[in-house]
Amino acid sequence: MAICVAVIDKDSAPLLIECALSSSNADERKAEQLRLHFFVHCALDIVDEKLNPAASSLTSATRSTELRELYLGALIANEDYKAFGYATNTRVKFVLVVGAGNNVFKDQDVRAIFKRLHSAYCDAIANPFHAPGEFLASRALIDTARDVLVKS
Amino acid sequence: MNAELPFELLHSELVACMFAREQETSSTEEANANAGQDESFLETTNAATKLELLGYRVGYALVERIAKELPRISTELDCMKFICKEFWSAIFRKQVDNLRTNHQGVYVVMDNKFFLLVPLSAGQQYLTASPRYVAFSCGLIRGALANLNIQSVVTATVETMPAVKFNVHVQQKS
Repeated sequence: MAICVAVIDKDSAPLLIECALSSSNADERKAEQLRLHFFVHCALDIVDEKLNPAASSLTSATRSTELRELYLGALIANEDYKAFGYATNTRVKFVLVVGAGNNVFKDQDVRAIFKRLHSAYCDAIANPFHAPGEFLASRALIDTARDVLVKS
Repeated sequence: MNAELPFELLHSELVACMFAREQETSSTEEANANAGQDESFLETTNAATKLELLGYRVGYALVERIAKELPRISTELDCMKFICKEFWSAIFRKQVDNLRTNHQGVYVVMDNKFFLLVPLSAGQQYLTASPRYVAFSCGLIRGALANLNIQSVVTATVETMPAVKFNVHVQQKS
């Protein structure tokens, strides 16, 4: 079950974070939301590592093949959550968090989800009332993100 | 009926409108100088700057959509090549004719038949009016590069219509 979808811009500032929270108690919801935000933040470190590999750790051959794709694959996992990442050419990062025990999400599904999110993001950016760097308030993008969270 | 005609017409109208407003505000400026009115930034800057700013915002949004399907662009040179091929084809329906660099952050992009200048003339006529018609496109390139994480300064020179040379100076991160 997908739990959280996050869009982060090139300066690592969050543009959109949608969570599907399970409990109904307000305090528990806040605590879970905070945990998810922290988890997404940790996942960002891995994304940065993948995008800027240290010159000494990879030979140039492996580096060029690894970086051709926009989809970054599985990032990190702890006992509760697992994260998948996708970074566009404009350094905007998308992170999808799923439950740790979840095996329903195959690579192809995650790629398709990121493609949809990327299209919705492009449309949101093209809105002339949106200033770059602001929190995304596009109805279409939020609905797409909620759709991903609910459908799974 | 080609699809880029609406953009061409809109662009010429935009340039005409901006320059007409500039004439108006410069003639009313003397009248307002004594009144001490507070004018906003957009009313005092000149038309070419405004056009460039418009191009910046448009380029910023466009590049996201155009770079969506492409594999990762890693080096600065790759970025410039992307601008010259895919970006230019998507907007101006042709690829750039020549790209030169000194490998130190200065790139010269040459287009021999720039589609926004083609309807104006094919020689020396209207050469003095050409800078206003390339301001928007300079902004377009600057906005696209900014979204790809490259801060730059873009200027254009026109020696013979309709050939345009865009000079891109990449600001090195200090």
